[in-house]
Amino acid sequence: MSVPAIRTRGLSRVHDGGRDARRALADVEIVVEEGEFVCVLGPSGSGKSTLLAVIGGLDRGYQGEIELFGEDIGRMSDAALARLRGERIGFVFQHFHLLHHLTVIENVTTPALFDPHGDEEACLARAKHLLDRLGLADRAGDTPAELSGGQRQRVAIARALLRKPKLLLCDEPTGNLDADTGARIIELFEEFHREERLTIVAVTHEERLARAATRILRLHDGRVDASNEVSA
Amino acid sequence: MKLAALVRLVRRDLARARRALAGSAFGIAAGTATLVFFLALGLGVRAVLLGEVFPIDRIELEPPKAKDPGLLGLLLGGGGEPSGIRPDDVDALGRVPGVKRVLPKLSLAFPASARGGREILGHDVGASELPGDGIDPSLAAADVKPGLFVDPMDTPGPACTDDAACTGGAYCERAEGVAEGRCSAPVPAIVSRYLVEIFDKSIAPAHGFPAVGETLLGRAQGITFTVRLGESLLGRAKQGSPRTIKARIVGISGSATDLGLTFPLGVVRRWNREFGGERAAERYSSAVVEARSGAEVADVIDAGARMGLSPKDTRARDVSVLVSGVMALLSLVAGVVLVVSASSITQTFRALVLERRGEIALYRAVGATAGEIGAWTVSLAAVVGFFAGALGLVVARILAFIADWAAAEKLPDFPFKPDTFFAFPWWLWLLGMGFSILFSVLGAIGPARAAAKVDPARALAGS
Ligand SMILES: Nc1ncnc2c1ncn2[C@@H]1O[C@H](COP(=O)(O)OP(=O)(O)O)[C@@H](O)[C@H]1O
Ligand SMILES: [Mg+2]
Repeated sequence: MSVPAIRTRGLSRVHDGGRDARRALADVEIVVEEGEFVCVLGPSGSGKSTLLAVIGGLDRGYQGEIELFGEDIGRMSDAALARLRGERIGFVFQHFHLLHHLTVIENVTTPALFDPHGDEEACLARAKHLLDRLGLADRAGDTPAELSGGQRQRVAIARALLRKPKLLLCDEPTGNLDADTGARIIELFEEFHREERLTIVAVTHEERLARAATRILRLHDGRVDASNEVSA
Repeated sequence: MKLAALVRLVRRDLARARRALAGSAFGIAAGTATLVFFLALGLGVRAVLLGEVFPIDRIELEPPKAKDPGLLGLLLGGGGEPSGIRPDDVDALGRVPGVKRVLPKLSLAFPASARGGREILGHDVGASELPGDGIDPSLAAADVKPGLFVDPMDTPGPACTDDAACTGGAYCERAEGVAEGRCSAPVPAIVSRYLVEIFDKSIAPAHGFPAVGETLLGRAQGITFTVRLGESLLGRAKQGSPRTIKARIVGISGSATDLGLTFPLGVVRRWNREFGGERAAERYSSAVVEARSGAEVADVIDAGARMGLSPKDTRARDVSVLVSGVMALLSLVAGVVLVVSASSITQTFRALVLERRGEIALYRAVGATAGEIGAWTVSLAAVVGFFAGALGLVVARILAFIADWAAAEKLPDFPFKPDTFFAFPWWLWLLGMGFSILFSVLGAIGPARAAAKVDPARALAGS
């Protein structure tokens, strides 16, 4: 069997918020195989965002162990971890985090700025292909302010996929969208998962996203409830 | 991060944060303008003073005087020996821009005295203390008939043990303790016009001698002296035993030392080795540097100072020191302006970083290292410094034009009133640019560290 995309052992994260230190994650043990589409469901404040930040190497203040594609990220230098993020991981956020001073195409190609081996032409072609695929071909020169919420999230998805990551980490990707638009975004995830064997971990408190996943994990007060694990 | 990516990031910043950046660049530009303006003024004034008011286009550089040995040094008998100028340093001085030629001098490192002059004065006169220098014969080539000012031992005569063995005015050049010497023509010497003037104007009238100025060069044989090496009225050499040789004045030369006789270098080197030791034979005692113009003497003084040499004529040095002092003071003012403007860069960049926490966090999420974020911030500051510096330089140049124009129009004519009070050598432009970029970057270092430390998870958690 191949190495899992994600494996955590005894993963905890305590936010030192003054007197009442908060335990956002407690002893989380999860394994995500390559090609899975895992949805982590949990109420607000249950530690979902913390889990994604820790797994994605954005938050290094955890205890325990995290292996990404077989590598212990706790042993990596900050620079090596940044490279790993650039090459293997794509992020999609609830608030899109598009750069408003840039056009759509410039937003999508942002990750290429930090790719030491990138080829500008190939990157531009890839960006155009993604925009085309996401139905935004004619909006490349617009700024994010001129787009609807659903379009913005699609730009963010194109940006996340620019460098052909193996793992997509999504934090409430439909949280800021109305039901129809959200449904369309969820369909896109299903398509990319199917067509490109993309491993996806999406955290949400919305049940509808869970229906698209191949597996569901439930998070409560920073703990993964193993008995609740559901396979779709 | 590739350079092209960095350039792209910085270009985008210049476009969108133009106003904030321009505000902080203004201070840097003002500081650079002040600095360059004052430095150019100082350099210009110094060039005028050294070039026209005190027209000195040659300057004699000396090694530091032997340090006062102090009581302990006296008791232990140490110290004392001057360091001398190494041949390497002489070559280096010759390569300083604006230097026409360098005349290294080897002074007699032992006491000597002389008697002679009967041929034209009627009877002998003597110098109980004879200062003397040795110079490269080629340096006097223009002033002396060819073949006269050369080391006689280049073409030594027959072997001898005393002067009686030598004919035709020659003497036996034989150091004490050497079994056999060689007959030598009288050692040629040149004197300065200054010495001839002093003799003709002061000494000759007082003693009733004829003036020698015109006759000296006309006489084929010159004036012959006997010189006592290693012994004078005031003392004896540390080593060797005193002996007497013959010398003959063969010409008047601008290369000759002001007071005393100037011999071919090889002769003095040989004598110094005999009476003063190896070091006295190898190290030059001073070097006269001729600059192409008086204005370049300032550069020569600076170059000499870097080798630990100082001008013998203190007037040039005093002017130099005075102007440098005033210049340093004014530069200090400019420095304060720069420091203040660096802190304004800090303010601007701190605000910029704070405002861009989300953007920085996003870059980190898509693969930027902390170092790349820091480099980006510092590069932006360097580019701001570059533009500010360019502006500052232009402003300084324009102010200088205006000041010169005002001086020409408004100031009454005074002696040595120059066309311009400013000098803008090429390195001043570089220096202005360098300081501008340096202070911008220094101001941005704190904010750059803060940018590198932005916690991506926390910054992305917000909207
Ligand atoms: N930077 C932080 N400092 C202190 N506490 C935090 C921080 N981030 C999250 N928390 C706390 O950790 C817990 C989990 O938060 P989070 O992961 O954002 O949950 P979710 O995304 O499921 O809503 C919450 O109680 C939250 O208040
Ligand atoms: Mg959350």
